[in-house]
Amino acid sequence: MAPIKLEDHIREEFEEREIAPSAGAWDKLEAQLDKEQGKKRPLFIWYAIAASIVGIVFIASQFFFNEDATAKQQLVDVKIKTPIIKEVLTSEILKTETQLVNETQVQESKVAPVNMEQAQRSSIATLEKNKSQKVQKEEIAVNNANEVRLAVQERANLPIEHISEVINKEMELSSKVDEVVAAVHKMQEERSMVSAAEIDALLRNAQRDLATDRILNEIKIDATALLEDIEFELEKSFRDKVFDALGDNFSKIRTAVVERNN
Amino acid sequence: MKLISLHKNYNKLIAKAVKGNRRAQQELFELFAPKMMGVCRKYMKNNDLAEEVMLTGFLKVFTNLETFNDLGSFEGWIRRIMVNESISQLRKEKKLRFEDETALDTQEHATYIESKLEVDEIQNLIDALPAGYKTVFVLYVIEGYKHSEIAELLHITEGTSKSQLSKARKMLQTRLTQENKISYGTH
Repeated sequence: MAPIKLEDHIREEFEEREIAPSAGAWDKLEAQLDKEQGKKRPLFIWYAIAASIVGIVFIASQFFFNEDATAKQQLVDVKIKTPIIKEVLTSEILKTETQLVNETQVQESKVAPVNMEQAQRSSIATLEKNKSQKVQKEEIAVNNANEVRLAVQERANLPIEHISEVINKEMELSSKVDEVVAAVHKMQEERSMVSAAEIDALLRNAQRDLATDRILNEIKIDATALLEDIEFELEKSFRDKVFDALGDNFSKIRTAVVERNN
Repeated sequence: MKLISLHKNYNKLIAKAVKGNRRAQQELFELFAPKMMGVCRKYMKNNDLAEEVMLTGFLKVFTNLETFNDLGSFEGWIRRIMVNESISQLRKEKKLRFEDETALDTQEHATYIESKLEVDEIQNLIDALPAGYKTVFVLYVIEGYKHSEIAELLHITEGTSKSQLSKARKMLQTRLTQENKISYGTH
């Protein structure tokens, strides 16, 4: 057998030599790696954290903004409710007064000339009664508040103007009532007896006038409410779009991170 | 062909491992750990010490993986890290002491043996050498480092490197002579 060069032999033998590490070798290394990387997080983790913070801040600001808007809306609703109640009340008063006048008229035709003082007193009593009904009506008004909200939003922008408008309407109503009462007075002065048909006609005219006014006003409110409605829809869809875009980006980042980790 | 495909696989694994992917890191570890255990074992006295050094070496491999460029061999890169880690461990243990001396006899004759030695036999021979001799011998004979490189690595002069090698060789020769393994036949 030919002699072997020691150093070549050693090199050959050692070149391909493999020694199996112990079973827990990788676990030890992994633990060390975790420790090491805990100290020095890779850059992408910081990017991910920064992106999340920006996202959270954005969403939070959206919510706060919305809350503000809702608060304002509620405030306006409260402001507006009272005039509406007044309106309802006034129309109720009108109705009861009409009834009253009718009743008095019936009595009058049966018995004696009208005692206007008495009529006025009873009308005041009716007003008091109406006040006691106010609480109930308020409840109804609150229930209706949600339905009325859209129509009311236009008013919300200019509450003072509209409150004065409502007050005007009230004034109009009371002037109508005065008008009718004056007309009855006038008739009484001219003739000692006033027929029920005549008073009915007067009242019907007054009611028709008021109804026409109301219809005209209602149409106006509807138009602006419609506009408001569209604006609300637009704003809503824009917000939805922003949220959708945010959601897409988040899922993209998440997929990228997951893929990278695989 | 096989080599090329293997190399490509490394690149994919390396790319994933750079980003901190644990599975890729584990795969690379399992591919190279046994070989690197062999590298470290040449410098360290037993398998446990070798494994400790090998793990520290791999920790450096994975934390500095982004500095590895595709131009060199990945295995060569890891191996260099393992060698450096072994030496720094020996230095920590203060086992590397070199008497600064000039080469005694650089005109040495190669040693010949009659029959092949088992790996364990060779390992025993090397383990018996003092750390300084052993390190220079392994670096020069097995890893193929030049004296200038060894001098730089061990912070010694080239002369010292040469004299350490010469002493290591003589020691091995003596041992093999005692065991009647040396061939004195014609060569």
